[in-house]
Amino acid sequence: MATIDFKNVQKSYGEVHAIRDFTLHVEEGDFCVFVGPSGCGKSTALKMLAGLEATTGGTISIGGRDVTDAGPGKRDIAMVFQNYALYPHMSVRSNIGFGLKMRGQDKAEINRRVEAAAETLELTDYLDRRPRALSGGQRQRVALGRAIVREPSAFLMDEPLSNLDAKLRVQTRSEIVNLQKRLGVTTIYVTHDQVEALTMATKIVVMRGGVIQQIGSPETLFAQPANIFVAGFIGSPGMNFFRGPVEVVDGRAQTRFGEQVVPLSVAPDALRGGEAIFGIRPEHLKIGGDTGTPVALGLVESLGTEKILHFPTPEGQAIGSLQKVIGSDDAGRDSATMLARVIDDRRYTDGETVRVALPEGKVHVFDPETQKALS
Amino acid sequence: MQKRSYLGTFGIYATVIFTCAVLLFPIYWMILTALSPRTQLREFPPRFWPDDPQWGVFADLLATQPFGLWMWNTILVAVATMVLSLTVGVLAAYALSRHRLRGGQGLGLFILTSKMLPATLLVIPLFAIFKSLGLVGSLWSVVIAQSTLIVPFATWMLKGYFDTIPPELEHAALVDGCSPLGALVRVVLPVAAPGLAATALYAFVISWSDFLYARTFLTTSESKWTLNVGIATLKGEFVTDWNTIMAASLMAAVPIIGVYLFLERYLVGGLSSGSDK
Amino acid sequence: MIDFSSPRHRAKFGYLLLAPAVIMMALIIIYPILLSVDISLQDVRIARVGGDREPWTLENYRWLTSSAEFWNSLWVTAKMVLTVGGISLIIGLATALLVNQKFRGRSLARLFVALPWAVPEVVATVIWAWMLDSSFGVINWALLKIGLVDQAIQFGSNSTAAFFAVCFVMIWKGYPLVSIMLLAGLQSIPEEQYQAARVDGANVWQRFFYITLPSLAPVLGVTSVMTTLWVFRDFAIIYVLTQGGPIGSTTTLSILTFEQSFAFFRMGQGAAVGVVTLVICAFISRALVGRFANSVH
Repeated sequence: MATIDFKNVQKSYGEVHAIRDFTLHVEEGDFCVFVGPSGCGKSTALKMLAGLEATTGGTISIGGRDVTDAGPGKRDIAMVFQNYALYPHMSVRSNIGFGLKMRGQDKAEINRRVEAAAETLELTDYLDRRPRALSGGQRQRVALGRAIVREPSAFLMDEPLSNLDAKLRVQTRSEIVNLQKRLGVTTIYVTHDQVEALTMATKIVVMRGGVIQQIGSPETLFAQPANIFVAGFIGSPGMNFFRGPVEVVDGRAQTRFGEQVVPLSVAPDALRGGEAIFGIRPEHLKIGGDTGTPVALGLVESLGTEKILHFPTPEGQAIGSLQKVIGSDDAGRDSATMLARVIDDRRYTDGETVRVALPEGKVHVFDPETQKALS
Repeated sequence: MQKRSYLGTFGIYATVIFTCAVLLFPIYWMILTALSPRTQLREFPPRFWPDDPQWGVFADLLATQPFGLWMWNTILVAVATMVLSLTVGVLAAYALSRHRLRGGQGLGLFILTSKMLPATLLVIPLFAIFKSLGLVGSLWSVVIAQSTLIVPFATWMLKGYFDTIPPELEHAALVDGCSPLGALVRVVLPVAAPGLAATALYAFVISWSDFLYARTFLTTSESKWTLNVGIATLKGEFVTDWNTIMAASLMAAVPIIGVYLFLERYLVGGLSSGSDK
Repeated sequence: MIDFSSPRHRAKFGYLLLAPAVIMMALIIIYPILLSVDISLQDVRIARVGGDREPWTLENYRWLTSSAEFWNSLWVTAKMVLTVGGISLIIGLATALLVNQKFRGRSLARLFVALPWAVPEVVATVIWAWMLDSSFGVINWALLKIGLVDQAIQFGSNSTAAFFAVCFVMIWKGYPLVSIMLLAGLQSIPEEQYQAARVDGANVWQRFFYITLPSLAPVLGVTSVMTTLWVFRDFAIIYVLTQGGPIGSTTTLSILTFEQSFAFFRMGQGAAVGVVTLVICAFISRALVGRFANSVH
């Protein structure tokens, strides 16, 4: 158990900057998730923490000890890899015990700890098999076993669930969280899946293009995204954006969504210029009331009681090319289409006209220049 | 799949059998000749079946010619070349496969092109060098000369194998506390074992087949010859002694054919890894 | 002592691993190539390293351009490349297509087809030398029996016959590799393409010309370059079968290089022939290397 600190860590390959100014403090026992689209630098950051990649600048410390130039074996960490990286020529027992053996533990002690770890992970019956003879889920557990048996001061996990099928992934997700809670070992977990990040983390680091976008708890990221990217990346489906005028009436700021006047909870002073970018989560839209802007539904995706309604962004309010900033799961989303997520028993049909209202206090405001959130 | 007609099936088998028969006939002829009594070889028409196999020819061969010595020399050279190329090749191939090294790409290209060097050109400067080092006539000269082909070859082939091993394996080993060399020895090499074996045997085959270098550097003393030099000389000296020559050839070919039968599937993979990636 | 597990020093470990190979290549390939250029520029009979050296001169290259032997060997090499390469490619492709069919015993057939490749060159050559023997060779017997010839062909003394004898041995020895490589190429063509073509109504020939050949083109290119280089470089087959004779009809550039250097001990001239061969080979392999350059890293 240890704290982990990155201080101004840099990584560049020649002219290309993979990581810029990465500064992060992780508390003891935290479950910290690095999340972002592929190529955002999250795996590189993890590899630098593991000592598998050299830093170009800055320092990394684990438990207060500067490990920037220490070898991976001297950092007291354990790592779970995306492809598990089990040693195919060794039995499960040797796989789990290899790290202890390399550290010169005596045989009896290794055996005792391997059996204990196997017990925890329900691998006892498979100890003498080769990894080849195991299912995907079992291999994943061996990889976990290899990590926990060493009782390291930190776990590093690089997309450990992405090779599992959807059902097993959800199950293993909670197993890992429970295991981590029980052992209390500081964990850094890398994923591209924001759902994993939201469900597992106590602390999320959202990255893009080698730069940290926001650090915070899942709730903070969801409720107070720091910029357009985080707002669009976190949540599924991602946040809707539209462009709107900023008007000040009686000292209060407001904007318009179609024909609806939307009061803003932002102080008018914070709003420069006559225009801003606004965001509203699909689940916060009020559909089918008496107020709001009438829209024609394009597509209705029904998941039973839950429905995703597609409708066009009001004339002239689409954010256009700015949509590219958002690398969310539904990256192919069209800037001129908005989504609403409703849970009710009403039937919606394609082409039907309904009223869409934006409730006060749920609208996020972003600066069109800096893309940062205004509050 | 549409079903093939009986005629089509028959056609395929007939063609396959005919092709194999034509291709394998020389090998059959070698065996047949080796086992035939010398007098039968001057008969017209020739016999196509050994009705009186002379197994003694192999014993005669060992008794009359320094044949055993040639075989021993060939084995020594092949094993030494194999060990040398594999050692140097493993280290270099691993470095090329795993490390983004400055000049690594250039070296890779160089290794590839070195397969295309005319050996008859290299043999001239090598002769001059060995002459001044006093290595002419020593088996080492052949080992070193063959390494000009086999080291690049082994490096390239092994790089292909290492490329198929996920780098996470040695990352895991490093995190588990291995040194980089430990990760190579304890994890990467055992995993690459089939590739190592294939490369080693391939190196053995190439070395065993060498004629030019042995013919050039080992002429001084008959006791230093390799099998190929010996057989080529037998052919020149005893033109009528075809059964002896064929028996010698058979004994020179058998180890290699054995290796080939054992390794065929690896060889195809290895060859294409160096050629059509 | 440097800790090579440190991320800071990991690259150094790579260079350390590479060092033996680099040093070895420098000593046994690069230095000898430079030395051979040096030798080719000296009027020297038996080259030595160290000691007195001759002044640099272009004499050997002057001899080269005016020598009938050199032009003859160039012509012989070209003829041999075309004959061996062309025939190997055609029957290699045919064989690859054949053993790519689905039938029982296919893997055994593949094993047999590639077997000549495993026979050492010298052994292959003496077998053929015996089969081509002008008095008691089985081939002459067969040709007489069928009635293709009235009298035994003198493969040893007839120039044309000797040339084709060498080509035969080379094809027998070299074409299995061609068919193995083409087979690997064939097997990398996805079966779906053929199924799609079948659905579109393409017949066997159309499938061959519109799917197989275009997909195989890169492999065919690589294979033909490799075969060409092999014929250029081969020494054992020709040397053991004919020693370049009769009257130079099978003297390729390789044989001429060796002959000049180690039969007539004119190493300067031999090296000059070799350097020219190297340049030609370099040009031919450029096509191959260009293709490889991308896959190197």
